[in-house]
Amino acid sequence: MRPLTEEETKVVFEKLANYIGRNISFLVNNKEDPHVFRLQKDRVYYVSENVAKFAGSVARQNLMSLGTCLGKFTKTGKFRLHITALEYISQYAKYKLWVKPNGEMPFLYGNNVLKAHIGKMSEDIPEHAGLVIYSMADVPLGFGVSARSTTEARNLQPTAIVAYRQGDIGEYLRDEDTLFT
Amino acid sequence: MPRNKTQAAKKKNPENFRRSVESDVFTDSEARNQLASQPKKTARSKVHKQSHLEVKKEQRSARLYGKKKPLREYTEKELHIPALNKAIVPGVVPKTRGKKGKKFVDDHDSVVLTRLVKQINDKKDLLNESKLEKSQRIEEIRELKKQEIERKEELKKQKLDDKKQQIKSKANTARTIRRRNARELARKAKENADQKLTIQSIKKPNKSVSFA
Repeated sequence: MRPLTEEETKVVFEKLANYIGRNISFLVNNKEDPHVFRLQKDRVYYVSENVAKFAGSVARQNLMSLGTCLGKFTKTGKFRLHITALEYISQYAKYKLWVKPNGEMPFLYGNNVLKAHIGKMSEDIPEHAGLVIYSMADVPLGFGVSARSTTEARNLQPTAIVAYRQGDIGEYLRDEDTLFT
Repeated sequence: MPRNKTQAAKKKNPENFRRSVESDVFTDSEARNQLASQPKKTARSKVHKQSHLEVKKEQRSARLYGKKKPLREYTEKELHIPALNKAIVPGVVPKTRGKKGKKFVDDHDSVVLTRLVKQINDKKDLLNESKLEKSQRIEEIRELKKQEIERKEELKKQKLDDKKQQIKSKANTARTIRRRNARELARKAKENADQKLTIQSIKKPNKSVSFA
């Protein structure tokens, strides 16, 4: 377990900025309960500071996980956001999309969001922007990337894709084996 | 190759067979203190104490030729050795001395972290702004085109209506003219009839035709 270098921090922040924009400062400057980023075996964890200090007393091969896993670095150096980060992304999301009840299940099974499933969406979403997908009861279901801007999406067919799915909470069941190893 | 530098000569050189092994037990001062036997602390002097005969010989030669001066040792500066040129290999950059290893970002280094956040978000905002602008422009152009098409349709419709009006009004005027003429004729006929009646009441020749 070690803290991140500047380049690694930059890569992680770039990925997070896709979804939460300038609200990363809330993640970083938490005064009551300061949290820190730690790297253990290619996975980046966001953990409160005193927990991180306790984790320092665990040997490296024995330490499996700590705090919330935001994602992991791939072999090519890119950072991939995991569904376990949804808690923090949904809190500070910039662009949101609400899905009707009939569209929840297809999304949780791993399909993309179609125009027919949209309940409502934020007004000014540009194309290819990261967004968080909620159910109509404001329960975060996952995150994805917009396929078209809001204005374009108004003139789409009902079967057209509006958002590409990048992570959904159904992954907790589908990828149960690989999520925490 | 000089004779003593060949491989065979090097192998044969007895100096290369033997190596001096100096144990730390005797060279390290603390370890030496621990030894049970403490040999003479002062080593034997390497200076050779000359015998009586050798002393006399030296004095004799000194009387003849003068005292032996100690060999002079020159410093490098006095020898004026020229600075030797080294070949410059292009592209080889001498390694900069620096600390090896990863430099971490301190956990509460708000300066670096906020700087990173700002940098990244400014770049993203630029991108997003340009995308929004482009989409807005496209929308505006589309709206204008729609308006133009609507206007053309309006014009066509207007033309059609005008023509219809025209025809209707032509029919109307024709109708009124016809009716007016008919009225006139009727009036005239009536007048004529009235006149005839009055003339007829004055003189009314009874015309009779007889056939033979």
